[in-house]
Amino acid sequence: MRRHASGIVALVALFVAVGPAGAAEAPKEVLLGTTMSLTGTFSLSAEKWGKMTEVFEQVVNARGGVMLRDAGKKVPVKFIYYDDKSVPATAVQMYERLATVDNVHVLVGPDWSPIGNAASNVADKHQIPMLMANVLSPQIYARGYQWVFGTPMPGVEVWSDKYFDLLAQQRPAPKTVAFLYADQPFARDVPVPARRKAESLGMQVVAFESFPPELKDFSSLLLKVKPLNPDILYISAFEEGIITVLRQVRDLDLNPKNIHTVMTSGKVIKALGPDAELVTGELAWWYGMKTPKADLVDEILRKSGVDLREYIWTMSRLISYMIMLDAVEKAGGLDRTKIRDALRTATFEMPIGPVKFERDGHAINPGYPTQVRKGDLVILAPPNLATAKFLYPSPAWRERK
Amino acid sequence: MTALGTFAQVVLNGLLLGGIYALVAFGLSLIYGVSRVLNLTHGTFLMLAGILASGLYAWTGWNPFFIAAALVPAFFVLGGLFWGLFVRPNLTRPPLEVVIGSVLITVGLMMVIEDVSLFFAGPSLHSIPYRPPEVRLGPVAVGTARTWILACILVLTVALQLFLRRSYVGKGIRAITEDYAGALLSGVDVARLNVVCFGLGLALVAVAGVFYDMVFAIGPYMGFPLTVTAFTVIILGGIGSLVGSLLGGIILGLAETGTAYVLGAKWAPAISVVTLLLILVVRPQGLLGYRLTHE
Repeated sequence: MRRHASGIVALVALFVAVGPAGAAEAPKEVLLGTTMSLTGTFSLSAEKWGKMTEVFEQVVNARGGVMLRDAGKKVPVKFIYYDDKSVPATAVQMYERLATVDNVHVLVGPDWSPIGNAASNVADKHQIPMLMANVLSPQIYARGYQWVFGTPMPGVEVWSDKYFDLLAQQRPAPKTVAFLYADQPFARDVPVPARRKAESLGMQVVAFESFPPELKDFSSLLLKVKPLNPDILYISAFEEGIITVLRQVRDLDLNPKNIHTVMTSGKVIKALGPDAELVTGELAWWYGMKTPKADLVDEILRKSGVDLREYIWTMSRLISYMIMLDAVEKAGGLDRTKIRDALRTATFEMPIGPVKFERDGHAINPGYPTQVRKGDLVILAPPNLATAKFLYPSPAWRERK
Repeated sequence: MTALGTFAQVVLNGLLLGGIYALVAFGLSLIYGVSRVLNLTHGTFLMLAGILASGLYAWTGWNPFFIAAALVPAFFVLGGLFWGLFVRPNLTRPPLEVVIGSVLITVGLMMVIEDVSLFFAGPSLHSIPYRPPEVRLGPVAVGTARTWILACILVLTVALQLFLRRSYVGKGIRAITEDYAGALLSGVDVARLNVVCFGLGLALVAVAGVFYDMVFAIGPYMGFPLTVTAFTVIILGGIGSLVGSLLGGIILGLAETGTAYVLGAKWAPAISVVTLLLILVVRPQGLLGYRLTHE
């Protein structure tokens, strides 16, 4: 009996020492590391994202955190973020720190092609899953990296597909398109597939002209386009370039049936005033669109004071957080290889629609066409999400009030 | 539009761009000519004026030309304060330290102004969507904001020339610019003229800021590239020559718009560098430059 008793005590002691068989030790939290361009050139588009990230953390934790199946419980999320100052070299330093000092579980961000191009090397070197946002150049994903993903939204390859489909439905449909694009990453990447799409729908491309991003006077370029009398003027540039071009389009009395820019943001609308009216563009998501998890987006934007009109790139950043947490849940834990595999194989139901990553790591989601109406944006397609009908053709400048 | 009409429009746009460049360069040239201070904050003051002007326009709806006139005295005072508080104390140091000190001071101030502007005005791009009633001469649109701006720049240039040639203060400024030691020996009050030049320089750049806002768009970080362009114009036209600055600005503007039309927009920025190199090789002191004597 004494022998049995001592055996039971030994078993109990062993059970207490190692814990219940098969149950992994639950991590205290999911650590996400990121950098944002809170200062420097790109801060124009990102300065409120620090606050937004903190709000995201609070809201997700208030909803219980992230379910880790292997541990059998939900754990809170914690972000560690730094300012990359809009400088690729600084971003690289910060991601090295996140990987080796802060020991984060996964990386989200950075944004912008020049920074993503440099920072993604760190993620691949340390084999940490990285989900970049707003890193749009396809060449960045063509390097064969195994740990790097991106939520470019809309995807460069299909950025304007829905817009051109919409144009093709007009009667009479536009026949000619002139493309003007800034010679810099993203801005020069979008028009190439857009041109293919336009041509596939029978439209003739009468101009395909690049300009340097620092150009201020577009009058010469526009004077070359004016005699071609294009039905559609398609401008691919960042906001400053778009504002300057559009102002000169009006000054030179260039009257296409529709002006389309790849970034018809609140900043563009505010700077151009009535001249922005009826200009079309694309967005990944807009207020009022009833899509999965739209309530979470609404809550975070409201609490962090981020207005998509002013910060048009916000959705990609926000979606990168949401997808990464979904990937952690699908992986069942914090095993980096399993998280990477989840990113590779799963389809993520997001406010912008289902997101599935390509073999090279980037997601391709088309943009929803928008149009400026009375100083705000409306969604034109698809029909089930549209908030207004497409006004086409636009009246000539002289006929406008 | 006929070929002649297109040519006229290209020239008009080149003159406008050159005129704005010249207006920015005038102030910088005045300041450098008299004080020999490299004011790297110059373009940043343009940004500040542009942001203030767009705010005033949105708030009051005033005519932007009136806003430009209203900013002139404010920026004149700002220029005087800039000289008195930041530049003058540095001038008591040895010559090399003066140069290094002025660069550090103006770069530091540039960063402060950028951050303060970002804090108060936000990251948005600012512009003045003002549109006067359009007037056309045949196929050429001449009654746009652009042509009114060009007309204002011409008037300002003539007024500035008259001021520099006819007034006592203007003659003093020219004397210091052309022969610093000679001007000192003749009893010219250099300290007072420095205040005037800094005031006038910033007043001119404030006007340029409003005009820039009406044609392009202004963001908090666009000041320094404009300072570099203004230095290019000054070197092209000749250091110390206001007429040279106007000429340099117009040559640069015409070269950029002409190149963009003939060769393509991607060659436009490169042509300014090529023009500058050509002038430096053929005429190192610039088109109408003086040989500086600031010993």
